[in-house]
Amino acid sequence: MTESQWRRVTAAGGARAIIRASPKGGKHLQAPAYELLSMGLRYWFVLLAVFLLWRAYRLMRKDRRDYRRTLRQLPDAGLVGEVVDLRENRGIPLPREGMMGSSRSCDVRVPGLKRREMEFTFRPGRGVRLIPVHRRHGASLDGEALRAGDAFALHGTVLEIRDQSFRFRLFAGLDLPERVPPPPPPLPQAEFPGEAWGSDLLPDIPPPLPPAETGADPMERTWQYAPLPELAQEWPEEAEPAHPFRRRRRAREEERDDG
Amino acid sequence: MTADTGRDDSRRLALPGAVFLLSGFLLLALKDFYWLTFAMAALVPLVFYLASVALPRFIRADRLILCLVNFLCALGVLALYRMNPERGISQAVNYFFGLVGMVLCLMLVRYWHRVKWMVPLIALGALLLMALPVFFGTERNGAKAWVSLLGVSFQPSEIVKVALLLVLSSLLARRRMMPALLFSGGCLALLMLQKDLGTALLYYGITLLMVFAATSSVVLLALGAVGAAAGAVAGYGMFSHVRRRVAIWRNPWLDYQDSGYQIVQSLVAMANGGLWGTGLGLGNAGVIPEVETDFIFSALFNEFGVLFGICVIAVYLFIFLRGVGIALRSHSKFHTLLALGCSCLVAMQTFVIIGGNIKLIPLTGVTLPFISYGGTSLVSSLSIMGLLQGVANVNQQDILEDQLIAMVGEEGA
Repeated sequence: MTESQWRRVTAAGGARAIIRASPKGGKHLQAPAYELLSMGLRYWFVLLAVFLLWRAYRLMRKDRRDYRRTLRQLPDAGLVGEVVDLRENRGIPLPREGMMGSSRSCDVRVPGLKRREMEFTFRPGRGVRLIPVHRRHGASLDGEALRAGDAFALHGTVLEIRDQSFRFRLFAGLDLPERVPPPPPPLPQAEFPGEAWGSDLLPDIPPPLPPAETGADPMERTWQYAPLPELAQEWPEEAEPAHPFRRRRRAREEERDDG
Repeated sequence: MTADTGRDDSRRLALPGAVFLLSGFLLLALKDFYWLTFAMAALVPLVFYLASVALPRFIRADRLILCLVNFLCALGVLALYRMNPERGISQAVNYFFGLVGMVLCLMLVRYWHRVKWMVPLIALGALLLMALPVFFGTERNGAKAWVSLLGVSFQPSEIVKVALLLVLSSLLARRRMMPALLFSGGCLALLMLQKDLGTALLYYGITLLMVFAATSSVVLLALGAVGAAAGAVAGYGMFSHVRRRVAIWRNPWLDYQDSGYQIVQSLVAMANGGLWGTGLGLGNAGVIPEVETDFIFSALFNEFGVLFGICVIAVYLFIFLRGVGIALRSHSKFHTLLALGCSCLVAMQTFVIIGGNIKLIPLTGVTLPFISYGGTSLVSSLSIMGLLQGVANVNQQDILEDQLIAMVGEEGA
């Protein structure tokens, strides 16, 4: 008998020795053998559980690293613009929604304000909705007292809270409709021909806005045509963004903001 | 991150879990040489592996949470099969339905904007469902929380948990505090009528946390804490079984043959397990009353040991941390609140039941999420994870779109 044959026979004999017929007619592992196996496998189970946790920890770390890298590549992800503190002349990133105040938990943190001063939510096509936390907020928007419920800040809007002033700069305003140039005011009636053409008689009319450049990036157009607050109320709320990605995104943002 | 890398990560994560389950079931199969155990040894690890690796290919879900939750569910099937094969198989069927519920809830969050008008209907339906046990319920272990319908017995308060999270997130995100508090208060009143104090504690805690997360108001949080303390004192005075449970918690050995029997047996089983456990199939946790539902953690402790018990707690901790991470990455208030609510609810439930098992806090009759026996509980817990997965899905979609927009912007420039 060769060595390999001998090993096979011994193994079969060993297996027969530990597997016995059970009283029900089937087979079962003998109690001491099972106990030995089960007690040995206790360490194996703990090892596998620790291994699973280690893998989970590694995956969490890797995922966090990837997420940070993505955020570095997309510094504007989740932001709709910035709030410029006019006193200190510094810009603070403005997320889609959050809280403004001096507390550490605030999304827009400005020392000097109350701990929780104002809640804000970006509404595509309408601007940043501002909701004061306190009744006596003393805030004004472009010089007018801020009314809770319908206060929307647009690109260029100045928000004053007591002695502090902020200007909103929105780059997510690409979803806002393009500004329609206002019709030029009528020229004053000239008493005699040629008088109206004199430069000294012309009223102080602001220069008309240049026409929109076709094919330009919508974001650029938004910066170029910073909408004026009083005109925004008359604009159509629905404006279709040019790019399908932006259209889809805007639809989702609107749906999300509503609910 | 490419799809292939993600799949590799899933495989690496799922492999130890699958090997664990295969080893466990094979060990049980060697004990009795029963064909069904061999079939379970083949099927359960396979389903676990497919649900952890293949499912994220069809639904964009968080791989880590999916894998850890699947592992806990499959561990529950293993533990139950070892104690009672019939219940183990029943739990495996519940696990399948739970996976279906999870996918449905993921879709619900993904397309929430299309069904958000249903919030009042969901709230009304939830209150009606919650009222069912008050009138038609059957009493088990002092609580009248079960309803039998067409031969199927279920616990409405478990299903309403999903509705509670959705309704509270939706209302609080829109600053509608009063309707949210009224809905939650209604649910709590109905739970008190059912004498289901453990679930009432969870509902109260989760409402308080979500209100705090939505408003950041320390005053409301303090008022809620005072209310909870007042409720605990009132409950202690009103309900005799609460007084008994507090007495057992303080010293179970005073009446170790009657009211303290369950907790004493649990403590003995855990002490018997020691650091490494007695070994799978060699434990004696079966003597603990309600071991398959309330004391499943003691059974795991008994057979797998303290170290394994700590690993199980760590798995729950990972799920909680990941859930909070998903909430923080979310761009909208609704999704943030929903993700936070889901993770806190599961964490709170785990703390309440494990704390009760190890005599850290008085015992309350809630299940250990994903592991305990119970169809409604398992389907509800997996559905809650589906909500969390839905938020993760929306976050991933946001990032992808940001990348696409950035790419298009660069090309345009």
